[in-house]
Amino acid sequence: MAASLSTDIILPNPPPDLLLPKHAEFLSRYGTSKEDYEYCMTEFLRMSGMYWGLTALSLMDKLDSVPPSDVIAFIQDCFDETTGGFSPAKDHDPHVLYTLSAVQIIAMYDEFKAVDCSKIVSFIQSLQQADGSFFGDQYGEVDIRFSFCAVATLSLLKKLDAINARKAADFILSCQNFDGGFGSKPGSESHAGLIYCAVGTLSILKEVDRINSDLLGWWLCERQLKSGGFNGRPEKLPDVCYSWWVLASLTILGRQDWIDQKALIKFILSCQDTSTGGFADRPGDVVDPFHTLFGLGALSLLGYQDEKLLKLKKINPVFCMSQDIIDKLEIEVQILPGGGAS
Amino acid sequence: MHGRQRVELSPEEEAKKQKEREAKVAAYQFAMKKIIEKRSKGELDSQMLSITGQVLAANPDISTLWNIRKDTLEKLKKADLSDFMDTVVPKELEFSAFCLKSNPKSYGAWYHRCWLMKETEFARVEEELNHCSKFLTYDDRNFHGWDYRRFLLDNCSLVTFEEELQFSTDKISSNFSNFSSWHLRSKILPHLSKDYLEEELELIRNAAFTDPKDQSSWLYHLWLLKSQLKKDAPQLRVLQVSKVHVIACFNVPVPMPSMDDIRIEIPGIIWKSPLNSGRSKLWIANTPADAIKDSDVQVSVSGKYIKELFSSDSMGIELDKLHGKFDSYFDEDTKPKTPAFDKLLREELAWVEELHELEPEIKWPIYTAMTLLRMINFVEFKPQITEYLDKLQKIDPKRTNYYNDLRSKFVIEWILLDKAKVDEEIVDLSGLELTSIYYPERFCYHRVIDCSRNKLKNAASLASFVNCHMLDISNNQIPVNLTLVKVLQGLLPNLKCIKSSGNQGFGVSMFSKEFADSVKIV
Ligand SMILES: [Zn+2]
Repeated sequence: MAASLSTDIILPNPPPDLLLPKHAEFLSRYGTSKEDYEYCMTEFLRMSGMYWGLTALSLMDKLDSVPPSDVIAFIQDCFDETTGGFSPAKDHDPHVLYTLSAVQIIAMYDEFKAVDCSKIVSFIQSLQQADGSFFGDQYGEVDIRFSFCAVATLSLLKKLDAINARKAADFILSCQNFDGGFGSKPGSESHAGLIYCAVGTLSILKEVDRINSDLLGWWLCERQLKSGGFNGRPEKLPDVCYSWWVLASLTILGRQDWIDQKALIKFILSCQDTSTGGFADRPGDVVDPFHTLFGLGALSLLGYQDEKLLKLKKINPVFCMSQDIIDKLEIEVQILPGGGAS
Repeated sequence: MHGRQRVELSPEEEAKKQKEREAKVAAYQFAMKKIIEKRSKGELDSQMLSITGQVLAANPDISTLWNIRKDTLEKLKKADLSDFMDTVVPKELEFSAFCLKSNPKSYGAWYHRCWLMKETEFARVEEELNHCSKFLTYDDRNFHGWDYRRFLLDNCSLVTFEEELQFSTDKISSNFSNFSSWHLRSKILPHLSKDYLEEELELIRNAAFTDPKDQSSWLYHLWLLKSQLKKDAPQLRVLQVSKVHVIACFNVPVPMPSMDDIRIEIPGIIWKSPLNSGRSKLWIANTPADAIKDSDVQVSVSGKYIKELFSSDSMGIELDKLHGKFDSYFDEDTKPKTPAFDKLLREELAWVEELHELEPEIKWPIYTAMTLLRMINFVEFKPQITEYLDKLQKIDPKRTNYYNDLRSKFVIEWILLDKAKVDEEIVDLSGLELTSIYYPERFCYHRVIDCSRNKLKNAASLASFVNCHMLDISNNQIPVNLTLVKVLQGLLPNLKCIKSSGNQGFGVSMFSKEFADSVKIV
């Protein structure tokens, strides 16, 4: 019998401790040299990059290492008065992906007066289609990620009634597959990142009870490999960002305990770069703010504490933002109780 | 950043690389400046295509540049349609293919192709299909490629469902471990007219024997068998009206019973579900005081989800009596099968168990055999099912809590099937190692419920015990939190006594004085 292809990795043993000060340093240094190669080449997603970095810093309670006025000036600079959307950087086009990131940052700093929020609402409204789906921008691409961005943005702005929420949920359910998961569009294969978008959208819309949580929960816990890391689809390699997509989805479904939490923690810790700080997708790879946020986010969901009892702030599994911000805005998402009741 | 390894460079290499990078940054910034300048002047011309092309070739994720290309292309289309169709579009497709070569997961490059197809009314769809098939031979798990293929198929009638099934079969034959292709089959089968089941099962069997560790074919297998079962339509199963409350219980979760398909009305009634979810099997309401006439309550019912239990639209319901009864099965899996389907399930079981004997340490045959046994005869095969669960727990410790919940679900099912255990108003669920209480709605009419000495991890299920007078949850692992207090104090109106010792942190002080005064807490 043919052996399965090797789709897992071997971890260094033992994993390093959680290096919070190094991560904080890595994030606050990131982008200080504007001519830096990585920084320039990721300009097209700058707004999301800001959100990843700032959220990761806020989980470590180090948000004050970045001057708020710089952040807000940048946000204002990226606001497109005509459409009401945010672009990733100046001179780029607005898109729903960066609109959510911008509104998340606005919420973090409680700066809802920084731009005309009613225009953002109109922008999101203009993207919804007859089948409930959302365009990403005026060029017409449809993706379940855009549904999540649209619904999460409106929820943060307390304007969910501006769209047809019922149809938005119906579209999400039309992307469901035989394995209980969700793909990017109706007919697309299940993928943990897109499952997070689907489950997150339904959680905001309080419609999570429309899905078969046992079936989806089982598929999600089958993402955990021997190494403890999660992959995003069957027979793929593990990656730190899936720690977040899978674990957050399981948390919303009330089934966070269906995985081996200790093994996951070990995997995540092994993805740190012990000299520069930051997390990579896998041990030994190049680190970036994206994987740094999702590594820290997953550790926060698990309530991880290091030996010095240092703790990350609690994260909200739907918005991927510090829970105290969501509480302050009095936003309630649906988290299933699990344990057979749902 | 995905899949880029850290490399240690010597100082000379580092310096060299730094120089290259500086040059790249300068080139990028120079090109971007030029592009923005041209765009602001409305210069959407072939030079614009060339400059944006240079930048995108190095980094195809810059969506703004794809937008600028689209704007430019539209302008060119307006100017000269035939040149656009014959020269510009082929070049553009080639360019996107070039970008995909270095970055096969570029959303922008893939969407650009979709956009070009729409823009040309799918004039080149056949060519594109061939191109896409070729692409999928290089990477048969690239979901962008699969999505693009479906997009093309949805917009032409070149390929029949039968042919598409064959495409998937070819892919699976070259690589059984191809979840994308199995997924595709799940989407095609509902469109086929012929009976495919036998052939599908054979393909699965081949895949499973070739690589029994690969979950793809196993997941597909269980889905395929379960999808043959008819889904139960929602139906009201049980209705009870007491002086205190109205309880309506359905076979599947339904929205609030005050809409067209399900309407149960007593003037003044306000329905709620135990945990405030939009869909629930159980719906409860306070009985409006003036609705009670002697020992009857006048109820009007309507809608297609009600009709099995009640024939007339309006009737007097006797107080406290339980109207209707629950199904003897729980979901489609355990519902009695036709003889033909039963035979087929047993045939499947035979080869799965054979494979299990060959490969006793692999979990998928075990999981599948267990599920098949549950589908064939859940009661008769209780010992075997339990044994398989034990094995799973042993060889797959990462998912031990999943199996604990699954076991808890089965245990409750076995109890519910044993009529003698649940027909009375007293039910004993104690000492069963339950981590969860599945089907809590089935205990909505019991007055005494004993869940003591289990491993219950939360209180949510308890919210369905609306008739319960005496609840024993002692010696569990229920965390003391708001949910617990909310459930016990706010959702169980009939509660007179609660036994709760042996749950850490549990005490009278958690509750309001009013609750502590009226309910005995031991
Ligand atoms: Zn990743």
